[in-house]
Amino acid sequence: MQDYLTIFSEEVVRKLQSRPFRIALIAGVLLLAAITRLPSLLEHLSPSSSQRAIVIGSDGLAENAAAFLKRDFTIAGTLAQGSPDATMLKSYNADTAIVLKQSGGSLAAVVYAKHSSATSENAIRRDLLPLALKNMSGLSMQQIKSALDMPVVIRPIASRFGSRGEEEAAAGMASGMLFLLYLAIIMNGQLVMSSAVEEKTSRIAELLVAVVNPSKLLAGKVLAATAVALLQLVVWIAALVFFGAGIGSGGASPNGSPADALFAVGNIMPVTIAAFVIFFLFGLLQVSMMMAAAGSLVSRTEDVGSLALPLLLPIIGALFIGIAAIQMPDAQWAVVASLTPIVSPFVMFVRVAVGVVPAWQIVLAIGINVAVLALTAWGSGRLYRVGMLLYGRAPTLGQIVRALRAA
Amino acid sequence: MLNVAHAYKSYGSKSAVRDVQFSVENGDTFGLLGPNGAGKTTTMRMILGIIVPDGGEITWNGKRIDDEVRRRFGYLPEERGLYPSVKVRKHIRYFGALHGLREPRLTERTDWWIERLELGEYANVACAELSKGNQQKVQMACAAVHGPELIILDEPFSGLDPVNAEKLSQALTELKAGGTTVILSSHQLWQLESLCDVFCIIAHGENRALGTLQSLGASWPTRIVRVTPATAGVCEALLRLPNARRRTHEKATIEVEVLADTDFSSLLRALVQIEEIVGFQVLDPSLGDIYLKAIGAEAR
Repeated sequence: MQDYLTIFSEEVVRKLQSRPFRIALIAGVLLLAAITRLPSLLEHLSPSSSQRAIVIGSDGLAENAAAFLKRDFTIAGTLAQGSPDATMLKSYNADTAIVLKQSGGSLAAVVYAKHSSATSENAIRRDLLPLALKNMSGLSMQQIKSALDMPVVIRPIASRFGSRGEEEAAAGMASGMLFLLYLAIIMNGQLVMSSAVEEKTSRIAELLVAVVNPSKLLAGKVLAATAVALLQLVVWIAALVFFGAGIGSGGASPNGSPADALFAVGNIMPVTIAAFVIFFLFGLLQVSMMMAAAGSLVSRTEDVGSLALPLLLPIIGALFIGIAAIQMPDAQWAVVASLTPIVSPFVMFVRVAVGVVPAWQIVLAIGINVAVLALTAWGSGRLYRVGMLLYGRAPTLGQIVRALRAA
Repeated sequence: MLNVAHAYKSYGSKSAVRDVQFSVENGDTFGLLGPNGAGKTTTMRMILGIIVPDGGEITWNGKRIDDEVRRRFGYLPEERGLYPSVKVRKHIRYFGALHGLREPRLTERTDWWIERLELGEYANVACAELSKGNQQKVQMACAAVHGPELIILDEPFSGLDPVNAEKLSQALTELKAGGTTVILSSHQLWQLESLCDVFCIIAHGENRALGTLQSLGASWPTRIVRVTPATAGVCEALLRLPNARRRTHEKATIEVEVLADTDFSSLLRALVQIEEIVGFQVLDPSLGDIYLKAIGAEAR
C-alpha cells in the first residue's frame, strides 16, 4: 500500500507542476469564460446584429410590410418607389433593399443585398405571411394572427422530465458535461502517456522497475492521473458556475433554453452527477491504462503520435456518438453503443442524463466496463512490464502480441 | 548469499543467457565480466527480478527474489536515468521511499548521501542542470540511499573523471564495510581488480571462469618474470627457458612469460651469475590476462 501512496503522491505533484497540465487548466478556464461571456459581450459591443433594410413598395405597401419585417430587420427607411443600387444603400446606411410588388391578391418580393448569403428568404417569407394572407383572403389581421398563433403544447410522455423546457435543459447539460468528460479523458490520458514516454526517454524506467513491480507503477500513475483529472474538472465546473452566474433563466423553467441550462448547475439531477462520475472514472481509467501501455512501447517522442492515434480515434468517435445520442437516447444504435467497450462511458452517461434507461442496461454497462477495466489493467500491465525495457523503433502489432505472450 | 543456479533466458530464438551460475557470499564484492552481448545485463536484470528467467533458479539467502526481497537491493544500470525536472534531494528521497525508507530515516539517509557524494550545492537543482558526473553521483545515491543488502552496479565508473571515480570507489568500499554485498560490472578491469574479491567471466551467456584472482591465477599456466637490468646475457638466459616468450623490453627492464612450474629460485641464482641483478619479480597473471584468455576468440 505504501508503494502505491509513494508513487501516487509523486506522480500527482509532478503532474500538477507539469507545464502541459497548467496550460490545459488555464486554457480550459479561459475557454469556458469565453463560451459563457463572449456572446453577451459581442452583443453589447454591436448595438444590433440584424440587417438594416430599406422597404420599397407603392400605395402604402412599404409601410405595411415594414411593420412585419421589423421582426428580422432594422428598418432604415420606406420608399414608394426607387431603383436599389449601392448608392441608395449607402445613403440610407442599409445592407438590404426589399422591393415589394402586389399583383391581384398575391405579393412578391425582390431582395437586393450587400451580403446575400446572410439574407434569409424564409425569414422574409415568414415575416410577410400575415400580409400576404390578408391580401389573398380578405380576413382581418386579428383573425390571421389568431390562426397563426394556434396553441400547440408539447407534453413529454415516458420521460422523467415535467416539460419540454426541462428536457432541453437536461440535453444542454448533457452536452456540456459530455464535452468536459471528453476533454478531461483525452487530456489526462495523453498526460499519462507522456509520463510513460518521459520515463522511457530519460532511461529511468529500468531503475523504477528494479525497485517496484511495474503493475504498481502503472496503477500509481493511472490513479494519480485520475485524481488530477477530477481536480481539473472541479476547477472547470467552478469556472463554469462563476462565469455563467447570472446568465440564463435557470434552465429548468419551460422557457429556459438549453444554452441557459448549461450554467444552471444547481438544476443537475443527482442521477446525472452519479452517472457522470461513474462513467468518467471508467473512461479515464481505461484510456489512461491503454495510453500508459502505449507510451511504454515507444522510446522516442516522435513515435508517440503513431501509437496514440489508433487509441484516440475510437474516443473521438465515441464523442460524436454521444452527441448524437443526446437527441435519440433510446434508439437501438444508442443502446448498442452504450454497451460497447470504450464507447460505453460516453454514450451511457448521455442516455442516463437525457433519457429513461432501464436499470438492467445500466447494470450491464457497469458490468461491461468493470470487465473491460480488468482486461485493460491485465493487458496494459503486461505490456507495460515488457515495454518499459524495450528500446529501439516503435514495435509492430505482431511484436506487441509477442510481447504480451512473453510477459 | 546470492545464488544463481543455471540461469537461462531467451528472447524468441536468441538465447541471451544459456547457463550462468555463481554464488556471492554476503559482504563480498563480486566482479561480473564479459564482452558486449555476453549476457551480463540480462543476468543482472534476472537477479533484480526485472525479467523472469526461463530456467534455473536465483535466490537471496535461500529465498526467491520477490518484491520484498528486491526492495532491499540497489541498482545502477548501465543506461543512466533521472527525471530531468526533479530536484536532486527530491529524487533521492523518492527512491529512498520506494525502497521502503520512512521518516526520520528517509531524511537522515538522503542528507548523508548528499554530503557523502558532495552534492550539497546541487541539492535543490533540477537533475537536468547537472554535469554528467554529478548526475552519476545522484544515481549512485538513489541506488544506495536505503543501505541495500545487495547493490548491483553496471559500469559505474563510465563517464566519471578520476576524482569522482575515486569518490565512488571510496563510497563502494564504505558500503562493503557496512556489510553490503556488491556486484560490479565494468570494462575497466584495473578498477575491478582492486575492488572485487571474486570474479565471474561470462561469454555467449555461459560461465567461462569463476573464482578469486588468486584461485584463477593458480591454475594459470604461465608467469611473468620482470628483470632489471636487461643486459644481453640476462635476456639470452631468460629466453632460453622452455616456452619463454618476450612480453616487453623497455630501457633496462625486460618482461618474459615463462611456464608457471619454472624453478624461480634457481633462475634467479643463474641470472646473478651472469649479471648484477637489481630487480627480479615473478608476477601472477593480471585480471586482463585471465579475461582475454577466458573469452577466447571474442577477444580478437
